[in-house]
Amino acid sequence: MNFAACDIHRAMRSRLSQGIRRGRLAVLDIGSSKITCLILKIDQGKLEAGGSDQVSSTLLAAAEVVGDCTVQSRGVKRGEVIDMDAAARSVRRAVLGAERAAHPRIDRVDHVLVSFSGGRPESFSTVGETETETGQVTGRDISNALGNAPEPPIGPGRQVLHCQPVEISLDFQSGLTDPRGMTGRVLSIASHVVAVDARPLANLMECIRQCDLDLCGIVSAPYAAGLSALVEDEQRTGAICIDMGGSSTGLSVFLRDHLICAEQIRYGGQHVTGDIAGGLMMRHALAERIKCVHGGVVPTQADDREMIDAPRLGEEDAPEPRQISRGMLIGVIRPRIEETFRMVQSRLIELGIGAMPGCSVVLTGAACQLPGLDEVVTRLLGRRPRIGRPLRLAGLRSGLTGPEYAAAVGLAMYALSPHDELWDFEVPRPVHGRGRAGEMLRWLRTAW
Amino acid sequence: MRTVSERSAGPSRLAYRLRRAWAQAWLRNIALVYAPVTALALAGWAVVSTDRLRLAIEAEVAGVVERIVARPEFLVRGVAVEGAAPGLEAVLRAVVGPVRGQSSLRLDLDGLRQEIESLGEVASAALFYDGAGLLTIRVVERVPAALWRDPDGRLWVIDDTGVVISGAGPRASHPELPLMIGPGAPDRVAEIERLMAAAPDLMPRLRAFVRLGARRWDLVLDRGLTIKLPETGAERALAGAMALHFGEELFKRDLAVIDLRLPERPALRLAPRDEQEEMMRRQVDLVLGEDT
Repeated sequence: MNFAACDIHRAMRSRLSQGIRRGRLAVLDIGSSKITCLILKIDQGKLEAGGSDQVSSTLLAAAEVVGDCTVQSRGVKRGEVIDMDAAARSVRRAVLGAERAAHPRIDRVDHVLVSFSGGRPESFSTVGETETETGQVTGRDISNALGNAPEPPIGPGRQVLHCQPVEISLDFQSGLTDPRGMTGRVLSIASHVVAVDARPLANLMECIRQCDLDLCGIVSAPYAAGLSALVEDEQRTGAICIDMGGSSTGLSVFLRDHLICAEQIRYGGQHVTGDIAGGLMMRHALAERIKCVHGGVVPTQADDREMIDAPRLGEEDAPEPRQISRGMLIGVIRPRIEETFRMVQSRLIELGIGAMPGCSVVLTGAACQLPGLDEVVTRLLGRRPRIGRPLRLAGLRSGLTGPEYAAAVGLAMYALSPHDELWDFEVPRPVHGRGRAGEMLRWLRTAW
Repeated sequence: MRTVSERSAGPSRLAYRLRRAWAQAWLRNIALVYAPVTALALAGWAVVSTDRLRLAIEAEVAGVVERIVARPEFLVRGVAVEGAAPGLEAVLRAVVGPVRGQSSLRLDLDGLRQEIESLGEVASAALFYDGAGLLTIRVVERVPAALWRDPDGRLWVIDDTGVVISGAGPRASHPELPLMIGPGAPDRVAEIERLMAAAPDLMPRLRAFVRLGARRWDLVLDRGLTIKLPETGAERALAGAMALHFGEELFKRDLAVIDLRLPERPALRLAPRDEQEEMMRRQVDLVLGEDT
């Protein structure tokens, strides 16, 4: 892997630790239909006492949500910025709203961690091997192993979003979490790389820059949703988190506490609304409302008798509005949902996860609240899904515990215990001069 | 094309920057506390340090104050005196005379009260201003208790605490008041009142109480009789003398001095005989013999 390409991530990491040192951090979940901003108060002392490998209760106690704000998202589609000014205004509104709602009052928050749900994420795996220098594994050996891994074929115009070491083995001893100090000859590290389109990512960073915020990191939205919605055991034994948002559906697969796959399907709840509005000739806002109130996926016998007021486009004020049966509504909604989950299914089969045993399916995102969705998922994916609600953080209002806030809360958890990424390790450096002088020079460099 | 107004879409970049800048505590403090305080202090210093400006401001303020003070609503229109005899009332009206027509805002009630109380006739005074132009003076007069002849021979009326009320005319103008003579006498008005109470029958004959050596009393009666009282137990001694008088008509006798200074040994001194009277007595003795 090429360490030099990760300079931007390295800079964001140092800003993240700076924000944690200051004790104030905002997380921004920029979705296609809503933008959620949470402001976290972080107690650094507790954070260090909590350790760094697992999301433990002490770790969660280190952070408290002091303010939150959710605003309608404008200028964002499929998780990507399509109107820079409108998107920046929405983000500013969310940040100002959260700052104003903050209790206890805070001056302002400068550091922000952002989710990214678009950019057609693609997962790669790459394995690097190295011989240990001294027989005992050091940080340099890990860096060398990571550096020796071949560059995955991410393609032109794409950029690495995550690069996480997921499998570390030492002389065929696999499943290590931290090999430093262990004795062995051959160290091999398998990394999971998530690559996204570079241009939407750059647009997102520009959008944050226009809000005068210090970007502390960009996290894949389905990954963040999985972090908060999956319980620890699910992450270990294997789980699929399907984050069904406004205009895209994210997919993240966890195994042995690591993200092993992140995908995006470019359909979401707003497409369903569009189908209703187009298919039944209704106003968009009205279609959204009918979807939320009467929507469903599974037809029942009572559906044909349940009539819903659905005025035709342009006839909203007519004395007798047109009525449709719920069966008709379901007939419009169901094909889109089925199509979406067939795509999920085929994507999972492509990845070879379709046959993974003991793998639970967790639905998050606002669109997953459609009644009957679980039946479709059960039929198509062969597993009964559950609705994943975000883990409770201290200070989180009860209004923010729905599945649509899983990504925002997951971002907060990522901020507390970020997974090791490639850019958390030292850049492997060719050893210049052997001998004491070179060693001292190297020591001085690493110390400062 | 945007279907919503820009305002509802969110704040512009400039508005956002201003809001976030304002969110910083130090900037808020500077703008709201330090800058105004400094500006005020500088303006104040400019006024104080420039004589012309300061004098003009002071004159202007004084003019405004004067106009307010001189308004007819604040004038004192009348003075009412309560509890004073007509003579004293005239004196009081003369004292507070300048107050009439003055502004009540300039009224120095305490000073007036002290001025009134410095008059001998006034024991205490209370002044009220009712807010509608009437100044009420309520005084308690001093009650004359005795006359006092000072070492220079002038007569004064004093009250029971020994305070001089006024100068007295001739003795005959105050026949009801006892006369006291001698230094330190005015402080002892209570004592002579007790003595008078001890010997009420003697009072019509009494001419004066004479304080001797600022120590003890002499009672001077008519016909040149002097009763010398002891320093302590004067009332008891006088009461004893009165008992003698009731038994033996002591005071009707022709005595010059009744000396009670030693209570257990009262002494009498006869009045010096008139030459003519002595001669007549001798002649009567010669004619009638010793036994008459």
